[in-house]
Amino acid sequence: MDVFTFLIDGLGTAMQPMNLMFALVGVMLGTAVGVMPGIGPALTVALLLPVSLSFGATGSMIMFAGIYYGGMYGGAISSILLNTPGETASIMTALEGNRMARRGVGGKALGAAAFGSFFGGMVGTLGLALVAPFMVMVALSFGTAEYFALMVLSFMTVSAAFGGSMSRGLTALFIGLTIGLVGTDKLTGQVRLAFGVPEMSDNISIAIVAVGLFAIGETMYLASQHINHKTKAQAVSGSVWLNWEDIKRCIKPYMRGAGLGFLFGPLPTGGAEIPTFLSYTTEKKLAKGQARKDFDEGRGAIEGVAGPEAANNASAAGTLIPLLTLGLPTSATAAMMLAGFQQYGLQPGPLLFTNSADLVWGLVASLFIANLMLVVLNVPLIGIWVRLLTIPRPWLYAGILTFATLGIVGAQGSAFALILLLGFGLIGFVMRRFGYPLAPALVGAILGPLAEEQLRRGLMINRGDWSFLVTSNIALTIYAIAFLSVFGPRLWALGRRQLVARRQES
Amino acid sequence: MSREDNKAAGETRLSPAETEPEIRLYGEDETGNGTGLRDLAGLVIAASLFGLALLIYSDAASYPVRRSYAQFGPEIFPFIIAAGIVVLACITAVTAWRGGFEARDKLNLAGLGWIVAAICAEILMLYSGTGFILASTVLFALAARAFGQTTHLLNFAIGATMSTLLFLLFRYALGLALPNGPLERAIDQLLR
Amino acid sequence: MKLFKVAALVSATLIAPAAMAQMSEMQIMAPAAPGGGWDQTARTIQATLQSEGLVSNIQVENVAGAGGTIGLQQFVNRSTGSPTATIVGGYVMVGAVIANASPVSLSDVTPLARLTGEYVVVVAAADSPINSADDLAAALNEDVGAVTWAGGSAGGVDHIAAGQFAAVAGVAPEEINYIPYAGGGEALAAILGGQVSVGVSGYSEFSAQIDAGALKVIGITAPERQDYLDAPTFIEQGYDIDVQNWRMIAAAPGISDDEKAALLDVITQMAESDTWNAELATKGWVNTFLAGDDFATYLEEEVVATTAILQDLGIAE
Repeated sequence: MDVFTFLIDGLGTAMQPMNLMFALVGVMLGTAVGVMPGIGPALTVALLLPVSLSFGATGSMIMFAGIYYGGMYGGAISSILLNTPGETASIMTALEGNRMARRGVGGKALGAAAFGSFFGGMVGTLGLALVAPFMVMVALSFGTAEYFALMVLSFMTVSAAFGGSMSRGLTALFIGLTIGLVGTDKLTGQVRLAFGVPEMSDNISIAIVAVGLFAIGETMYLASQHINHKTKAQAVSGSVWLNWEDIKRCIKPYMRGAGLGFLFGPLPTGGAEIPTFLSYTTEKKLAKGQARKDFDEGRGAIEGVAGPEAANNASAAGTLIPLLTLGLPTSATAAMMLAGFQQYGLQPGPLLFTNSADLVWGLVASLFIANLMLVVLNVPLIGIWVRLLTIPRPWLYAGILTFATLGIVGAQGSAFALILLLGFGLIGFVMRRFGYPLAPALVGAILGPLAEEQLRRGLMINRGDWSFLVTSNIALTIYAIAFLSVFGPRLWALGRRQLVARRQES
Repeated sequence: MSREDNKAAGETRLSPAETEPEIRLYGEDETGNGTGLRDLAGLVIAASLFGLALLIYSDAASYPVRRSYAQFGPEIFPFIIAAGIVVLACITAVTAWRGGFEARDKLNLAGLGWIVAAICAEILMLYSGTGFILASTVLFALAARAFGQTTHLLNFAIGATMSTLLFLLFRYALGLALPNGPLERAIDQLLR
Repeated sequence: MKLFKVAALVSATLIAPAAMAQMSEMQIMAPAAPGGGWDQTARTIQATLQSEGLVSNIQVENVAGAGGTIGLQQFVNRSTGSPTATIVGGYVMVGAVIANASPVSLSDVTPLARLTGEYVVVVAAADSPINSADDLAAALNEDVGAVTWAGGSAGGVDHIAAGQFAAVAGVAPEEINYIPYAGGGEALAAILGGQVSVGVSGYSEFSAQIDAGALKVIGITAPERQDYLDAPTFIEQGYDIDVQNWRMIAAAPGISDDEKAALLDVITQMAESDTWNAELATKGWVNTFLAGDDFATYLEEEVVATTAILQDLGIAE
């Protein structure tokens, strides 16, 4: 019961008016910055670290928690309304969310995202309070073989959910894998596909790829159509608020998404990407009835927003587990949080829970508060956000371009990034025009390098012996799940058909 | 609007492959709206994919051999990817030859050209040191033109206001340095 | 341009009181993305110089990429002759210039001072059979490939320290089975989980686990014992390795001796101030201040030594 005493103490601290104000400022700032593609919560926290020193440890932690959750939600806003995911965590949100916005129910998508973030954050934070030690054990028992198996699982399930044309989905995936190759190979220092351009000897930032393919490509695609852009878009049709029917549809995706996010958060595989990919594909696979129709007919299914949004916030709480207990940052934002701790002379690690329990629980409590603040502040604003779409299209898209280039130039500090952005924009344009899906390209660019690294690290540790891949039970279990998730439904259908045939015979 | 919806729908419409337990890889598996006409642009895509594969192969083949306990150097993954792209390029070529790509809307080259020009203008202006505000004002105005907004003065005015506000926010609230030009330095001098 | 001049005139009169500071303006380039080590160094310098009243107006500019060489190149191209332009950098840059075959190098800037440094530690999981530098050397000599090292990026300071140890222990550096991770933090899971033999990275990456007893220290690459760490140096165990991951500040090429002296004076006052040292203490950085000609000589030696070891490791030709 110690946990709850600590937690209630922590909540007491976080509820003080001054701290509530920090949470408020953080959430507002985070949302504002998160809307801008390319500039995510990690960068915002990094820039504000020096400023925050004067707020004291608790105050700045609460503000950072607010920025973090606000930033995640801001990413969802630009994904849903503008089809411009500026961060890897909200790529999957853009797929269904933007389709919903196009048919005038963007408000519902935003609502599903806000409550999903809240739910995922709550589940993740509770899990953090209750099962942190167990999750740490799991994370430590994972070696290269298990991580590689996880990558295989992600690749297989994501490719199975491409829909439409298999060959075009795979082509997009391979273009992504090629993008992932560019830059310095981490294991040998060999520079690949940079053609002597120093700016390309670093790996291409995923923000550039995402903003280029989605935002720039989309803008080019729209500009290349012979339609009168001055006709106003239908921004809102029907109520912007979620009704009971919508909420019922969201509950299961919330739970599955939060579960996936929390499980994957503590693993050092790059944070929120894999759980959001898996959540989206799970929802798409399991959809029935109206949801099935919404997914299949490209109307935009609310489940496809709810699941990934719950997953990315739950994974954010999950990443705190290895950070707080081992001092092991597993994502960019966790790394910034670590810097924040160090600023106050605290070293996250095995001793933090015993040495500074009050601060740890203060942080957990501030996550709760920031999460709550996010919903309280943003849900009433949804009606205003969707009005963004009523801006005349020429200015709306010119504005998106300005924001996108600002985010990229600001974060990279060089105009060269814009040349890459233009290049990816053109690729995105061609892909859209010829019906190639965009998401697999990003999946390939994110997962490809991770999979390669894990495989080659494993081979180095085992001195070139491939058998390590299949000697771990955990890895074998993951392969089995991967196989079943892709071929299971088909085998099931085949089996049933035979059964039916046999019955008819008899 | 409706045409756009159709387009979005076309992207993910289920092929028969998803409802029946088989995957078909080319030609027939396309969404069923194939034109049936030989598609030159599709063949160009196939050719570009071959080119990409060749590029990856020739780059990877040039890496010096490095000793490593993995027996798996930085060149192996590129080789695998290049091989995969060759296969996909062949499938694309067959699809295009058989007319498997859907019919496309007529291309508005002028609109596309304005967008590309807008981004190129921003890149050139940033490289030549005109600073962020001017460069992104031009970007905004040209991009608005791409969508048929010909109120040039108004476009520039909106773009300039927005860029200046964004510059102030980033420079002074976040301390992030955006590319400086004479205008930015002047603002800096005034405000400090 | 006219507007600019008018504005400059107006502001020059406005800020007259602030001209009490030794310098009215300064630019610091951080050749890395916001949040990284060099960026934090640049922003700490900015904050300290301003709060100490040494410089009244300071701007930090981030130009990320290629181990700092993109920023370095832009700095040399743009700022040559400018008496107020500075750049932050560090040991990683020495290797990056070589590995990326950069057209500009650290000899193209005017070195001012080394500011901070971090020593590298070699650690093992608490239940590892390796307990000392001798154990590690023996294991390497028995089967060099069986000893797996987890550390930071290939050719970085961690890799260099591992290579130097191998050389001193009598094994060819390029023979070691070094497994690069994105940073010491990511390598941590592999070390704690017992998947690799030893870990090698900056002290701060491992300090929490060392304090908690989850990791034991095989040795630290410092010239003498450090008061924050109760563990032997490699030198006292008979292995002559002195590596530190230092950070520095340099001025633009082509400035006069007076201009250089003015900058150095400001930086020296900063490095001796209480604000600076308090800030370093909270960040866990060690003040290894070394200024002027001593630092210039040190820098030259580091470039020569690093080139040699990178060749031994097979990173540079």
